[in-house]
Amino acid sequence: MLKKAIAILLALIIIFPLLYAVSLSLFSPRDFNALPARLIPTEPIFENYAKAIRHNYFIRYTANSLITAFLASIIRTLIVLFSSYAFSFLHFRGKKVILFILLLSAFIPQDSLLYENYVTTAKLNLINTYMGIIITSLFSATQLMMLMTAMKSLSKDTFDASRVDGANDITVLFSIIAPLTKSIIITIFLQSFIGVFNSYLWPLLVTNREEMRTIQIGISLMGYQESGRMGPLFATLLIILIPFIILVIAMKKQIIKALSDGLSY
Amino acid sequence: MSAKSEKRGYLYVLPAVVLVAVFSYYPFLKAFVSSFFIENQMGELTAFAGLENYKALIGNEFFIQSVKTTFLLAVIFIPVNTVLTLLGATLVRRKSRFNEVIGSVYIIPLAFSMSLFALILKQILSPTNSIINRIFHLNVVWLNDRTSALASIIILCVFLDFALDYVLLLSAFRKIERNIIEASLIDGTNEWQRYFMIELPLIVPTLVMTIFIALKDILLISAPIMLMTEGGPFRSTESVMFYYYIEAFKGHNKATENTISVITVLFSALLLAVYSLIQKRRRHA
Repeated sequence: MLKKAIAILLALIIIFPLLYAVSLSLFSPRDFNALPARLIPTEPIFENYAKAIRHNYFIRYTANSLITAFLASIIRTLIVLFSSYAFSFLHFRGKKVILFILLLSAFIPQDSLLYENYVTTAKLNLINTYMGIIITSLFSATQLMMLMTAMKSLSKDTFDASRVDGANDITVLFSIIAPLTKSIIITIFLQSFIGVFNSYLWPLLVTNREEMRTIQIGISLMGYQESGRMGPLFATLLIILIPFIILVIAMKKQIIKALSDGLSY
Repeated sequence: MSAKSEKRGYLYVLPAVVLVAVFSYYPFLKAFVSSFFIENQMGELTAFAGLENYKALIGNEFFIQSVKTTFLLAVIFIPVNTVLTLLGATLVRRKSRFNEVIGSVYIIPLAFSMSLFALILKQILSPTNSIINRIFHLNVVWLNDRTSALASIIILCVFLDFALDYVLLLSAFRKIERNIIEASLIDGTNEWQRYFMIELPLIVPTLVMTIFIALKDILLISAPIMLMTEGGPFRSTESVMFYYYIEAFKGHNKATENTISVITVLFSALLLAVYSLIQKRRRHA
């Protein structure tokens, strides 16, 4: 019984910020200033949501986030897929050394090199571009490890048999190898998508034009805090958050599997 | 091995090689070499400086303060995070309908991004009218002094890390073979003995992994500080990487930027190496 009580208490603490955000999204400006702080609105202001959606930059910021997350995860998945395929099934001189160099990069945290990478990105003329926002997120050594482990477990025969009739790499990769490692590839895609969608610091550094901001940064630039109209701010936040919450709960099993597979290295 | 197959191999790994060369190795080597020179604003190395830049860094009181703050954050965050996530996973590790519902709540933080959660947390911990103060009848002016500012950063980190660590520990608990637990049932051990003598030792490798991930995250922390306190009040919550960010992007201080890059890369590589060694030894034991 005590166990259940503690479990429920912990659950309440964890869900509180979400529930409070729902409440805040329906606050009037006066509710925000109430003393002591209010838990629920005096009267729910649903107009906050209409205001949130009507904001000039709401669609733009959200679209920027979705486009960059989508682009980055597609490119990253392809880069990991092709390199993993080459290391698992093709022979070329220096293969081991190249693999070692790629995997060793996991030991170099890019957070420590923000400024140098910013300078490089600026030199490549990628400031205020989608490519600039995603450029440092296009490869992951840990994901390469994950996919190589999965490919190694496929029998060599699968590969050799498919090569007999002279099928080319692309056919073999996409019609045989990829379907057999589907769950890991989906994990890599999702990890990349969420990582880029949620990233804050890098997109902040490489964008300074209003229309190139992503929602994670843009939400604080919409002028709500300055004008004291905090209701629409939290309405915006919930509109972004709710699809992810539904996704997390609906795909609970797959997510748990993906996360525990992905970090076992 | 045909020449044609060789070419294709190189072609497929080329993008990955270019990316790590340009955004991992090049910046690290550049910072490493530059850290032993005087570098001007144009990025030109003007004179050899030996270890002078490192000496200057260590003699800088703001850097030392940021190192202390970072370690303080780690010393508080790691135990709090470990205890809470282990508690969460322990409580719901058996499969039941109740536990599935509670477990769904525990993974909700996965849906949050850092910046969105920071906005909510800042409202919860508002210096003027905090809801936490009302619920618990407190009188804290949040974010106004070092202690409450550090607490707010820790709360943000714990919330954001909770779900991932919980998921990893839960999977570890559930991978324990049923027959191991059933065998101990026959022995007549009680629930507590079973937990501490059998289950907990079996999940230690996963526990070590979550601790190392947390350690690496907290030692390289910067964005949570930017979002919650901006280093304040009075620069009292600056971490090493936050200080790096300020010096590199606002102060344009090349020497500080290069030396901190080198030190933090080497430190986190060392941490990862230690972790790999521990795991390797365990596997062979």
